[in-house]
Amino acid sequence: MQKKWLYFFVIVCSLVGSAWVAWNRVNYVPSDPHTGINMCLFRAATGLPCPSCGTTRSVLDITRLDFADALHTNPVGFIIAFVIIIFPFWVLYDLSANKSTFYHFYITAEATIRKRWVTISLVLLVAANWIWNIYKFTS
Amino acid sequence: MEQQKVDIYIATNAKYFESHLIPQLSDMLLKADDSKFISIQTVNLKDPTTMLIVSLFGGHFGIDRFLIGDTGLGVGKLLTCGGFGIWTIVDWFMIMGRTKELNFINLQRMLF
Repeated sequence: MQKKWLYFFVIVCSLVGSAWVAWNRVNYVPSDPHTGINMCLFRAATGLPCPSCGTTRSVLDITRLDFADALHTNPVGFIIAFVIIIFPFWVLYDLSANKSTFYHFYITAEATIRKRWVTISLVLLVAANWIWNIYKFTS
Repeated sequence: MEQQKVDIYIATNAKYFESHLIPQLSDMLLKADDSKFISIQTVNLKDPTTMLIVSLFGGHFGIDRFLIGDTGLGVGKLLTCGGFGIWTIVDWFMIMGRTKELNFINLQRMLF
């Protein structure tokens, strides 16, 4: 992926993600599920959650500094919260200082994930999280 | 490389590349050394139609992106419920073009 597209993509996604979290922070009442909007195609189609369902709720818990609940809702929320907060500033730093540190990080991360043992561990983690997610959803 | 070999390669593999890149591909292959013919055959070209099927069924989890080599975007798609479902649908239309583009890039890497 070209650097300019990656940077554009990261900025747009972070803005959309932040706006989504802000909207939910105002409108979503955890005790009343009808106030939330289901954006997951998989859950809409099958009735079962996907591995990352619950991420919005988890990020909302993090904004309330309720880290234990966030972890219980979906640990992916921590990754997304980190990405939304850190990545846009990292990209803006690169753009202002005319550097490519984020781009190099992205290329290195891609190469690392493609290593067989890393891929297998990550797939197992996602699968475990998915099973846990389905368990939480059905119980 | 001889014109005949290039023609055979393009006739067999045209569906793996964007049609507007075929003349450029032909030029590239003609300029390439004859010894590269075998290694060109070994480049792992992904079938755009297969990727479309993968995208229809596994796109929500980013599997299409992982398979064509866009690992970073695959992770992004996986961790965001397929980009709120919107990215999944956008990719149903984009994935064939992206697969062909990456096939071309992979072949280019092999040649230079």
